Amino acid sequence: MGQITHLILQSPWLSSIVALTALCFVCGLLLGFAALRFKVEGNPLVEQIDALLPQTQCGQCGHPGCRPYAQAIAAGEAINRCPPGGQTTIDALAHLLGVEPMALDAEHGVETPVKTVAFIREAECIGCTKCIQACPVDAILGAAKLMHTVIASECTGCDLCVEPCPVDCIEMRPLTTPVQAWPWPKPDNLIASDRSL
Amino acid sequence: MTRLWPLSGGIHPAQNKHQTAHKSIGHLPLPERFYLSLLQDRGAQVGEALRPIVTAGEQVLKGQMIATGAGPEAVPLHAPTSGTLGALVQRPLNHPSGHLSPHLELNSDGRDQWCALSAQEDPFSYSKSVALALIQQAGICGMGGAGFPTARKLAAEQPIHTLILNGTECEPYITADDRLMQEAASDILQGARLCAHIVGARAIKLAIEDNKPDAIRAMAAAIKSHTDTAPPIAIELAVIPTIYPSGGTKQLVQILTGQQVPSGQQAASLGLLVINVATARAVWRALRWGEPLIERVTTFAGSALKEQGNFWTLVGTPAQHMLAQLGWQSANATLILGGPLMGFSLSAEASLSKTSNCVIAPNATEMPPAEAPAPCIRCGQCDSVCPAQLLPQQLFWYAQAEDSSRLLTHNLFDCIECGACSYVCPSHIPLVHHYRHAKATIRTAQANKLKADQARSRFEAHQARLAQQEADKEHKRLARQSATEAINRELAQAATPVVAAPEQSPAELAAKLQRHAQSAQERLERLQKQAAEEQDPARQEKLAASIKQAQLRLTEAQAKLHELHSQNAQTKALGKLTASPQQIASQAINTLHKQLAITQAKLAEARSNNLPSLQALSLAVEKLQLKIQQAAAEQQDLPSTQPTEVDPATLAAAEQALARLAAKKNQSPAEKNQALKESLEKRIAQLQQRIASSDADKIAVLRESLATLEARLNELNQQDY
Repeated sequence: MGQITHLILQSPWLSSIVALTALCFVCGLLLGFAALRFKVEGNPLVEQIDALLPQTQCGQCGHPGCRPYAQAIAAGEAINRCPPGGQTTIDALAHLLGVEPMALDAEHGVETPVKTVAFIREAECIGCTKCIQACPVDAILGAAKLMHTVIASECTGCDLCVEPCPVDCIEMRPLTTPVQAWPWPKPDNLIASDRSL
Repeated sequence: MTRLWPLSGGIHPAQNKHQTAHKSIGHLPLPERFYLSLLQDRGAQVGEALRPIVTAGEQVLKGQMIATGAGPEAVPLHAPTSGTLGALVQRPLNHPSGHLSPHLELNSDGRDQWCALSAQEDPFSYSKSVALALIQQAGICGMGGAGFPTARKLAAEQPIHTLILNGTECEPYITADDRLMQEAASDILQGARLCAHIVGARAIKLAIEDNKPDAIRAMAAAIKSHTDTAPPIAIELAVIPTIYPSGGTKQLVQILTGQQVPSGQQAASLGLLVINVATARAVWRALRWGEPLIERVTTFAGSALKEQGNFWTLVGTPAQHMLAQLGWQSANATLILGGPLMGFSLSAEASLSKTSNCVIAPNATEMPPAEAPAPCIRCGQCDSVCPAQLLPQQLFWYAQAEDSSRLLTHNLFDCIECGACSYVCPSHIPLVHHYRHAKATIRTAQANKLKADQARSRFEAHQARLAQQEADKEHKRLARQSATEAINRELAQAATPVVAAPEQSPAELAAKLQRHAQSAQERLERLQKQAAEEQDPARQEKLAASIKQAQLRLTEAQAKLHELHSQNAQTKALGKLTASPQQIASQAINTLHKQLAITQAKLAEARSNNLPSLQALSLAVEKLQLKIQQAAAEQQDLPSTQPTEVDPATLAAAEQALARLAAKKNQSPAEKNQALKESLEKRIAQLQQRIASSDADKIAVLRESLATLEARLNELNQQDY
């Protein structure tokens, strides 16, 4: 035993190998412990993708809501299938995932510049509750055989309620920006040297 | 001398106050029509919409409330003059957007008649809550420019030790507060004292820039005259150096106290409250005289006006009306609401409001169009003048790159949009415009994010609810299934009776049926008796019906009794078949004992009556005793109590017997009688044979039996006829 220790101590090769092995072992233990102790629950990538999606829950991407699409993207699906999010969302997703930004897939719809909100022409509503069942965010209020109405502040403009209406009394109206939310226009970015050109 | 602290940054633009500062506040003729915006005035911002409380065509008096809102932030609107209300009309708003928004139209009747006002001799006697309610009802908001509801500001939760009265008026051109301090010093001071009293402040600091010597003199005089007025509140006049933007709340706090209001907080967090001099006067007018806020002093300045000066402006007066009176050459359309640094362009059609402190109508040489911006040269001048100590050039870069996170880390929202950076920029970059746009973009993004989060949580709640409903349905289905199974099991168990009815012994049953038959018989007899005695035919009919019933019951009982007897016979037959030899033996012994008892009884009777059958009977007794002994001996010899195997022949015989019994049961009474007669005749024939062949001592007994049998036969024959 003493001879082996002596041999290791005397040989720089052996001693370094032994020291490095011990170091690797200790580090491996530490990493293994950290992996268990600080385990991240769920897929954080899905959360991050979901946070970028517009939460319209319209299903135009072919998934029943934004979160399922986020899961699909995390699993490798194309990022250009969200018309409500438009190019902004695609760019943000591309930035997050480190892929090339692409154009919106026209198969899934086109980007509309104006946000819309569902509106029920209440005089025509027959109270069938079909739109209530179709609404993914429970933004339609009403009961059977009673008039329904849209809670405009909760409506995501997904237009899923339009199709099931048997009397076609639901329309999508453009969302007007209230004066309170008036955005200052973007200043003219031209500079004097640009103008002279 | 009050100690002052320097303001970091700041600029010294051309004052341009001399055009208006020396003229006293004038009055202009009333406009024919007023347009009062229902959107609450918050300076460059817009508050929530108010709700009109009057209808079109209604006559209103000056000072009458015409629109109000809900919540502590609502600032009601009052009629600026007497007249008739028109419909709601869409007019351009006095807001940078120039959006069309609903305005209440008021057609002046020219009389300018006040509604009844309730004056209060001593407004200091009001409790805090009452005073705040009155201030809110009077529609008072901050008149310095931001339009914050004064009642809300005075209701600050933090303890306030000092009230700062803001008379700085640092922007060029504006002299409205300057003139007001000169002409209404006492009202302003009383209003400030009242506000200090309401919030519980012990001291008032009045700040006036040193470019307003007349206002300083007037205010100093007013302070002197109010030193002994109760309640005692220390009032200090602070003459501060002229520098823009000393009038900003946070900047003024820094100049007067050397403290900085923390980012994202209000001056109240330092125990300070800043109110404008015009607001203080409005508070005094409202609490002392009951006057709502319907007019203010507005500076009309600019070379495009023939006459410049300060004028009392009623809320809702279209800017056009005032400018026309002042000889505005409308060819040059540029109009600025507010000062040249923080103001925004105004449509001449827009109405003036509670925060409109200045309207500038410049000509082309006075305010030439902004030069085209040149690239940023990173000179850092904006950095040195920023009163909020931000990094304007960095903010500019990030705003151009639309880098929201960097803008936020560089505290974009601490920018007070004073315009000092734009003023000094050698490249003429509209920096504040960039910041305003960036702020709006970030606010929109935040609002969208909030909405998206809300939609997400609602979607998740929706999904959870659907899943719950599905689970509930499944649960109910399973519950139903298990319930059905349980019921089926129960039904199956019920088919094989769980608890046997308490078995009555044949004897008990027989007794019971006997009782039934007897009671039925008795009832029948009683009824027949009654029927015989009854005279009334109706009653007789009833009785007859009852008799029928009783008869039915009787026959029923008798039938049951009969059935029981035949059943007993069956059971006995079966019992014999299935009984073990032991049981058979003991039964035989029992029967023999019974016979012995009967014979002994007969013997005793014969002895006492000395009958001829005595000898025969004693012989029979002896024989029976012998038989019993034999039977007992046989029983003892039997090996076990095991029931004997019933051999098929016996079983067949038994079954025949049972069939016979059953047949007997089904016989009609006539048939039964017939069978009985036949058997009796058979037995009589047998007896006669035995009598002929037997010895003398037996003949007596046999004859006796023969007589009995013949008697029964006769009886039967008689029944038949």
